[in-house]
Amino acid sequence: MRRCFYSVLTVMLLCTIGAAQGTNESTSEGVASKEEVPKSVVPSVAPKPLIPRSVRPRMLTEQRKSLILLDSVMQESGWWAQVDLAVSIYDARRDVIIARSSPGMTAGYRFSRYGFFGAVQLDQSFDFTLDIERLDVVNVGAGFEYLNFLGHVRTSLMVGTSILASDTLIDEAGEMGWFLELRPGALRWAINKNFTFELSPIALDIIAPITSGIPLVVYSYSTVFAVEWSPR
Amino acid sequence: MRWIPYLAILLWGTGAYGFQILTPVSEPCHENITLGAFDLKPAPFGVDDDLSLAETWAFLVAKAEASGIPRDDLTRGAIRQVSSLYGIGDLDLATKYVMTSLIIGARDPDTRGFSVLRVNVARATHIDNKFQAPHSLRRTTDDHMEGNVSAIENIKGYLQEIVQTAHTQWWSGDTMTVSAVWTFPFYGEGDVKVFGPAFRIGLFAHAIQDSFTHTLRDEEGRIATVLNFVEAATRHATESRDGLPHSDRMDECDTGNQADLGRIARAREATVLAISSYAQTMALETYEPMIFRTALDEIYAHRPGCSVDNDYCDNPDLALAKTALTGPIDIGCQASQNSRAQPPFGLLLFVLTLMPYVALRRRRRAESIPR
Repeated sequence: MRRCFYSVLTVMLLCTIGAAQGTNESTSEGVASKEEVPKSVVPSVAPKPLIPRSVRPRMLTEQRKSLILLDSVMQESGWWAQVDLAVSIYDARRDVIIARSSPGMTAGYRFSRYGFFGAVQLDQSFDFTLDIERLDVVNVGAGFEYLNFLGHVRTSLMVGTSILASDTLIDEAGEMGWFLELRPGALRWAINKNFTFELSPIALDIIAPITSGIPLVVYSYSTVFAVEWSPR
Repeated sequence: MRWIPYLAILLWGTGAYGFQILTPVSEPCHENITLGAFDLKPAPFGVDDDLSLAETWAFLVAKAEASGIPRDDLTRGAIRQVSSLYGIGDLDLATKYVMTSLIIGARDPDTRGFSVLRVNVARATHIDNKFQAPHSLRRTTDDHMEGNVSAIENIKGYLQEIVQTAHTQWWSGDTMTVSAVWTFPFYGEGDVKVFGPAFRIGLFAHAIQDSFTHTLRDEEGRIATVLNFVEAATRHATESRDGLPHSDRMDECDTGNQADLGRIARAREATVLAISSYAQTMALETYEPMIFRTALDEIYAHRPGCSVDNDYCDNPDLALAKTALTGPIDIGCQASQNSRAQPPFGLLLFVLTLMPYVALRRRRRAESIPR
C-alpha cells in the first residue's frame, strides 16, 4: 500500500509538472498563431505583434478557456460551501476489508486559485472480523486548497481533531486525537452557475482518535463525492 | 452490510477449513462443540449425559481464579468482546475468562488470531504443510494409502505435544497464562493473556473435531482416508496419490441434516474423551503420555486398505463429501507461502489518477490542431 501511495504522489507530481508545461506550450503557440489579435493593440509597423502586458493575462485566460471544452468552474474570490461523502472499503493499515463512509460539511474562502476552509465530518467505519461492529468518529478540521486547470482539478489538505463518538472494547467515547485528509486530485465539473460537482477518485484518509495506550488508527484510501455551492 | 464479507470471501476465496468458526457469514461450530463438551451449550452441541465434564470445568475455573485473572486492557477487552458475541455476559469474571480462553484456542488454528478477512494470511497459513495437523489433514508428503498412516501419526504427534506443553506449564508453578493473538475491531491484532490450560483444550479440540470433517470414517468410526487441502487448493491434486480433496460440504454444522448432526455428535464425544484424558494427565505430577495417547488411538483408529479404487471401502459419506470438493483457489492470491499477495490496488490507483490528466491533455491537443 505504501508503494501505491508513492505511485499516486509521483503521478500527481507529474500531472502538476505536465500541466505547467502544457500551459506554457499552448500559451506561446496560441499567441503566435492567432491572427485576430486586435489591431488597436498590435502596432502595424512593428515587426512582431506585441500585446500590452495589461491585456495579456485576460487574453490568455480566454484562450485557455477556448482550448478546454469543459465549462470553467473557476470563480473570483469568494465564499463557498460543500457537502461531501467519502467512501472506502479497505483499511490499508490492517490490510482488511472494511466499510467506511464519511459524510461532511465544508465551508471556505477562495482567492481565485487557492483558499482556506474548515470542515466537520461524521466518520463511520464498519468492521467484519467477528460480527458487524461500528465505529463513530467526529472530525473537525481546517485545510488549504489549490485549484488548477481553470478550477477543474482541486488539491486539498486538511488536518484537525478527531473525536471518538462511540464506545469501543477498549476506549470510551469522548477521547480525542487527530485526523488528516489529502485529496491530491479532485475533478470538478460546473453543474450551473452556483453549483459544482466534485469527484476525488483517490483521497488519503487517516483518523487517529486514540493516540495513547493502544492506538486506534484507521488509514484508508477513499473516493469522495461532493457538491459545492458558491454565490456568483 | 453483510454483503461486504461475502463479497470479500467471493473475491479472494477463503473457502472453509474444517468445522466453521464464527464470522458474520458462518456459524460458530468449533466454539459450540467445544463449549458443548462441557455442557455449556444446548443440543445438538451439548447433551446432558454421562459424558459430562462439569467437574473438570469447575476445576479449571477455580484454578484460573487462583492463578489470577489478567487485568490488562487487551485481555479485558477480549473477555468483553467474547462475552458479548457468545452470550455469556451474565457469568462471573473467572468463568468468562476461562470460556474466552477456550474460544480463542478453538478459533486459533483457523485464524492464528488474525481477522478472517486478512485472506492472504489465512491462505498462506492453510496451504503450509506444518499447519495441516491442527486441522487433521494430510501434508503434501502424505501420499497414497500409506499417507493416511503418516498423516494420522503426524496429527497425533502434534496433539501430544500440546498436552505435554500444557502439563509442563501446569506443574512448573509459573504463570498459567499464555500469550495469544486476538483481533480487535478497528484496532487490529494485539497480544492477550489467556488461561493456558483452557486455551490448549481449544487447540486440540479443534483438531479432533476437524477429524470428523476432514476424514471419511466407516460405520465403526474408523478413518478410511484423510482428506487433502494443500494440493486440492493449489491445483496439484491427483486423488490416487494425494487422497480425496477437502470437502466444503463436510464443514457445515447448521443444516439440521441427520448426517451432519451425527458428525457433530461424534465430534463432541471425541472432544469429551480427549478432554477427560487431558484432565487425567494434568492430575498427575509425572507426565504420563499414554493416557492421552490411548484416547487418540481410539479417536484416530485407522481402517487400512481403503483407496479411491474401492471408493474408500464403499464409504457412506463419500457422496456427501463429493457434493462440494475444494478446488484451486487462486483469485488474487499467490501460492508462495513467503510472499504477501496484494489485490491490484496500486495499478488501480495509478490508472484512476492518470486518467483525468490524459483525458485533458488529449482534449487540449485535439483542440490545438487547426481545422
